[in-house]
Amino acid sequence: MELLQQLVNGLALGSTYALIALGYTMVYGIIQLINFAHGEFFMVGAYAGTLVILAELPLWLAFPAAMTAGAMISLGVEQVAYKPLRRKNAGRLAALITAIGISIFLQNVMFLYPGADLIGLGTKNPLGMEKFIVGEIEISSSKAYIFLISIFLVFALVYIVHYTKIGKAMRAVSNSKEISMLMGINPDRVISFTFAIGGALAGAAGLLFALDQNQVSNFMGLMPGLKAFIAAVVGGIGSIPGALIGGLILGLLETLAVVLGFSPFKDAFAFILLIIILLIKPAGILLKSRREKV
Amino acid sequence: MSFAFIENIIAIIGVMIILSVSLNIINGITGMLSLGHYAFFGIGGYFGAYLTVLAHKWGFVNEFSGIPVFLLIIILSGMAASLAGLVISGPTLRLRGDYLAIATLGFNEILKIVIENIDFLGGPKGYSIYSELGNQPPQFRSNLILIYIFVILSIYITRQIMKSVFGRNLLGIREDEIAAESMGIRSSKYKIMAFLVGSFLAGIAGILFVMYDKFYANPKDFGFLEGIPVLLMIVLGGLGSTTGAVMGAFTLTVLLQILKLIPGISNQPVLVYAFLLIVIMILRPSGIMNRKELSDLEIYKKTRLKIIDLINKRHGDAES
Repeated sequence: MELLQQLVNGLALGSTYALIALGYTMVYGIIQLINFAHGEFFMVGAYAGTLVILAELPLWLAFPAAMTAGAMISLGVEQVAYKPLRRKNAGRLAALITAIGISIFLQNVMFLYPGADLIGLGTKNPLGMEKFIVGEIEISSSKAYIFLISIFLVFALVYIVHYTKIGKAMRAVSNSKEISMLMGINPDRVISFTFAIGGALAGAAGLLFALDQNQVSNFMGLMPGLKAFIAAVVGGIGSIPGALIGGLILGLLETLAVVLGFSPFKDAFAFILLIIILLIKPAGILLKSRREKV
Repeated sequence: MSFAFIENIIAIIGVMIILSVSLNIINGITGMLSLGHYAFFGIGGYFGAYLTVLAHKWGFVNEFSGIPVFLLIIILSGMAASLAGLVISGPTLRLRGDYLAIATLGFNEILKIVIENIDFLGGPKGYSIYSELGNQPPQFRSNLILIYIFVILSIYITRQIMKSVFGRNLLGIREDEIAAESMGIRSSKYKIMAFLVGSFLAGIAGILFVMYDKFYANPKDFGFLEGIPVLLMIVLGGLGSTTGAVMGAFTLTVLLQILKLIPGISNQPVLVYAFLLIVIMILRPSGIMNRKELSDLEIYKKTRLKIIDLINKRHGDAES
């Protein structure tokens, strides 16, 4: 039963990773950039949501706040940093280094306000600590909410990508930027939209994570961000179902590591998984490997 | 601003130059974005510190053998880091740039976690040579002369590499790996070799840093976030230019020391250098030197000719 219990925790954690991983995967799919700062959009969203909750406003207001904040910061970073680089054709190395710079910058901006680096939710956490019992397992309500909300958001994204006009444009641009331009699509607008959606999902994930941990801190985006990237790679970067599967695998693996008594090494497991996946199936679980051609 | 303070800064500049020159071999010259360079720095530091304690305990060290033993330890630390470089580059070199970045970052974090959980290396508290030797300082230590000997050595090695076929192959791999392979260059072999050289020098920087005056290896000094300034140094100087790496190391170390003196941002040098990194990448991604070396600059060539002229004139005057 202990194991089933942990399975639920693993699924909740994994679905948070999956939400962040979706942002990575969409941005990578469309401009082949690993948006290193994505974990920080997660952090900004968590802060925004927490501030709403601390102001004693209802939870259904906190989610739009977190998602808007995540989308705004994501869009802002895209406009200020990535767009000029893209215009200059600066290359992937330059873009990646810029992304690292942005990530570290956003992590440390929080220090400018004393006391902002760690805020606890305390008793204001609306998810509370109640538990309900299904069969023989106890499920804490917060874990269940996290899982359900995450899955809902994933399906919302799938709907946007597959059944709306802008989603069609996103798929077109990721297929071929030049040809989509010929079809009258403005790739810059589509890329901005992709960043905004990815940021919104990361913001929501941040709020869920904050509710689970009952606190926010300025470094909270670093590890989940990296792990979500790993999740995206494990599932096959560029693929939306891949991000979901990768996230869940990583969440379960991490919980398993804690159950087996390796909790000090739990962060190491994710990186080992990354290296193993890259060695045996570099394109991820769901995608076919492609040889690079000239 | 005492003498010791300035001496300390000069020593840090030296260590940073070795680190940035060695990172430049991997990132700048070969074009592989490695974010795990501080892992090699840390391995060199820890391994050297451990060997130092062993050497003292086994009685290898007396007043005559101090320097030779220390030199041996420095070389062995470099080799230990090199071995780690081999281990990490083996599985990851098939990866393209961005995957490699994450894998090396992961390697660095794994290493930090592992070291923090090894008891005989002091765990999260770090490994202090001082207390391992019963509150005695070791018989030898690194000093400015030793550090700058290795600075010159690392610059010399890089320069020789750039003149050799090996260096040309690395440049070819950076510019276009597929094209380089079709010209008969075995890119994986040369990538591993670049990693070996880079990690060797980083390991040496590690032991020199640990043995400078703290005699203390702390896992917190070797995380990947701590290593970001070194990346900024080579980006600032211009990726691929050794002169740029030296200039970047000098400028940034001095800048960070000045920032520490300014109240308000003294706790947040990270914020400033992250901001710098973004601004440089957007405004001038090629850095100060734009892949050029000192010897490529017009002003250097002119001055050199002038000096040669001057010497010739003197000789001519003396002869007539």
